[in-house]
Amino acid sequence: MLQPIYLHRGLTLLPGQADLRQLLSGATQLVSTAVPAASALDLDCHGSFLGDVDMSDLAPDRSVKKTTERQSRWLINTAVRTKDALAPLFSGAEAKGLYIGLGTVDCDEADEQAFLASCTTQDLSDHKLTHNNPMVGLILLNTTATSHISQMCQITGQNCCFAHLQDGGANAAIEASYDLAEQRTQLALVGGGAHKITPWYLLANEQYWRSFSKLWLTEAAAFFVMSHQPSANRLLAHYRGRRGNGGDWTALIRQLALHLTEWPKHRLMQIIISGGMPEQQQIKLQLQNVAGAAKLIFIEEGCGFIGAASCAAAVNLALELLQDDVAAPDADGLDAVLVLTLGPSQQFSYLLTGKQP
Amino acid sequence: MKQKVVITGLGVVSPYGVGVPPFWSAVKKGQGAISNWQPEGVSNYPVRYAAAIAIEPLQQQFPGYFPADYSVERRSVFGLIAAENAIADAGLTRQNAARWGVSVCSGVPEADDQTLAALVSVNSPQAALVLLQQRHQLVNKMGGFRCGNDLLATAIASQYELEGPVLNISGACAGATQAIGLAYKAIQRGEADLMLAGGGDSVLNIRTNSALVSLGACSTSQRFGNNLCRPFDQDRSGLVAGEGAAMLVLESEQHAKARGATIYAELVGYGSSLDAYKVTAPHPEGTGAVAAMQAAIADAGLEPYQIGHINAHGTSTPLNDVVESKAIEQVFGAATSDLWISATKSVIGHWIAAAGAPEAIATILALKEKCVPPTINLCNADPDCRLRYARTLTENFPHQFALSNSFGFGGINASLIFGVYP
Repeated sequence: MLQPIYLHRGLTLLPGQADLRQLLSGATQLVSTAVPAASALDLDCHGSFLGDVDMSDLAPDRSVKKTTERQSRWLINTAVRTKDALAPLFSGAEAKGLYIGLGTVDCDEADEQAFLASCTTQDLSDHKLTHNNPMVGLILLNTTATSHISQMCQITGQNCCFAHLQDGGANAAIEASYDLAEQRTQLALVGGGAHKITPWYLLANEQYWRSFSKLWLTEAAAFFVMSHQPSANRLLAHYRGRRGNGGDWTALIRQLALHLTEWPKHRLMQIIISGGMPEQQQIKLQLQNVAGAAKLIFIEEGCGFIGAASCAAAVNLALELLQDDVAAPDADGLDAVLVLTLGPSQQFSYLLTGKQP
Repeated sequence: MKQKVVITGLGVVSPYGVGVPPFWSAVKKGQGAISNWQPEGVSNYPVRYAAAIAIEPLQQQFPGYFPADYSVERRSVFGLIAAENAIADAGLTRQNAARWGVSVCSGVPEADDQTLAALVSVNSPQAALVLLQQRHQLVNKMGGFRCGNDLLATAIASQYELEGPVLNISGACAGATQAIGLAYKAIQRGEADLMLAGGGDSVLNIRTNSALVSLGACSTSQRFGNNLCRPFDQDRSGLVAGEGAAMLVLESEQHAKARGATIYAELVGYGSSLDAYKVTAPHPEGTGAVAAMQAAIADAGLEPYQIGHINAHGTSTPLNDVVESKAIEQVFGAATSDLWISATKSVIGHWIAAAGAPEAIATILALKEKCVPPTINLCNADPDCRLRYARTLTENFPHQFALSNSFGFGGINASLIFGVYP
């Protein structure tokens, strides 16, 4: 018999230590500034920036200090603090897995803006070989963060890290769900991190950014935990598929409707959507029949585009809403929240979570 | 009920050309792909040997992937051609692609060297971006800046109008093996009927390669010439980079039989683990490697003695080869002496994130042809590497199951087990 899977709320790191729910309600706002590089690409783009994070109280060893940069430190910091906040879960599970949506790590920016008299590839080669930090290879490798998280959280089991943008974070959550269901792991630390806002980030995804009428990028990271250890909130269903080249909604709607009928006592209260801004109107139209009275929450309206961090941030928000019984207080039945991610590859992924029956 | 997963198509883009036959012929003969190499436009670069692909023949054979007047990211093009090759090999058409997905590895982002050369000559972010943009306007028919390392999964999904999972895995040198493993799981559970799995990678660009040099991972020795990649040999001195792409078509047995597909082998087990040790070295006791192999064996429902051949990660680095040998001894115990060990990297070099894909193909074909391909350049085994390494092609070795290992930087480990399909 399949063991139920439970979700445990972790941490979401946003600029200014902002709270996503407060951002969405309008109680607080992120500071955002124009991204200077964007104008060169004719992009209307603002950014909300994270500074570096202080991990000194986590006592990282020397290899962690020497092989990380600020983007990987957001990820490591949030993962380890989530683990610390949920420590009893970790001590209770023998097989622990790690599933992360990773951004790529781009250039060592200071190094590559150094002035040289000429710019041949010979000069570049000479410059690199002379000035490279010996650890730059590991700094540039996005899975170095995975290694550090596994070391600091003592996770040795099943693992997978994914690109790209919000697909990466969603695939991390979906894969963890399957591994738990298939008993390949007993606990999963799941999360993701946004890419730091740099010219490289803008250019690497320029085609995708053009689908946004106004682009607001935010640096962020988020993690949560899935396990068989009971909590108030259960994973009721999960699914992923691709909407075809034309962005067809049929499969998503059909599958979601099917999953909702499997939990007749649960009432869908919110649908938290990430990656949905370019198709916001279409989403409202497509979901209206299956969503019923559920409120649609587009997280990018509160926090901007946070890429691979978005699925985990949405899950944390869902768990907060369920915990605080944001349903109408006189409502009958059990609450459920859907976390829906729409990705640049046209993949859709969702997790349906609700109160434990 | 779990679906059986079989392999029905193989595709390769390698220094030997496009397709499996030249690749497999070379691997069996031990015909090394490693030769003199320097980055274009550079002399006296410390790395002198690599297994590079000649682009001009590919440009002639596949002009559609090389639009005129601009360069494209090597890895993505290799991967697309390999995918096309694998799909053709599987005899597939695009009918019923609704339950097809893709699972490929990502490598470290690269940038063309001219771009970076231009970048280092300016000292303002704005000017740098203008230069980047000018370069960007010349590249990539998929519409993304060539630095992106995620384009392949999306491009394949778009090209073949897939509706199943689209997975882009970042797993360092274990990436392709993890990609194949995730594809296997997807079919096993019924999430997809068919998955294209594997990947492409290249670190033969100054930015990434110089980073590996600075780390001390690449061999800069000139002592052995083209025979520089020497897994398990006492004179090994670091990895020797190669480049290429390999893709496998994984299908449910039911789906394959229904369309009359030719089946190469069955994929019977997958395991992954993390060392949770220092990022700069594998765990000295190989605990992560042990765990990955044991997880794969358990997943397959086998006992260690049932495995006949291991396609080792075998990187020719001082640390990996000893640790891997030790880990294999620990997993297989008394059965170790009956195992044949091969290291495909000795022939084709290290394809980094994609390495596990050609090695899976070599493992599958060795199973099918009842042989073990050679580990070349193994003249004097390291005293701490005590396994039975196949130094020449070992024929007439029927074995039911074979295991392929990939152990990535930072202690990411993955193992696959293939079985003879009756």
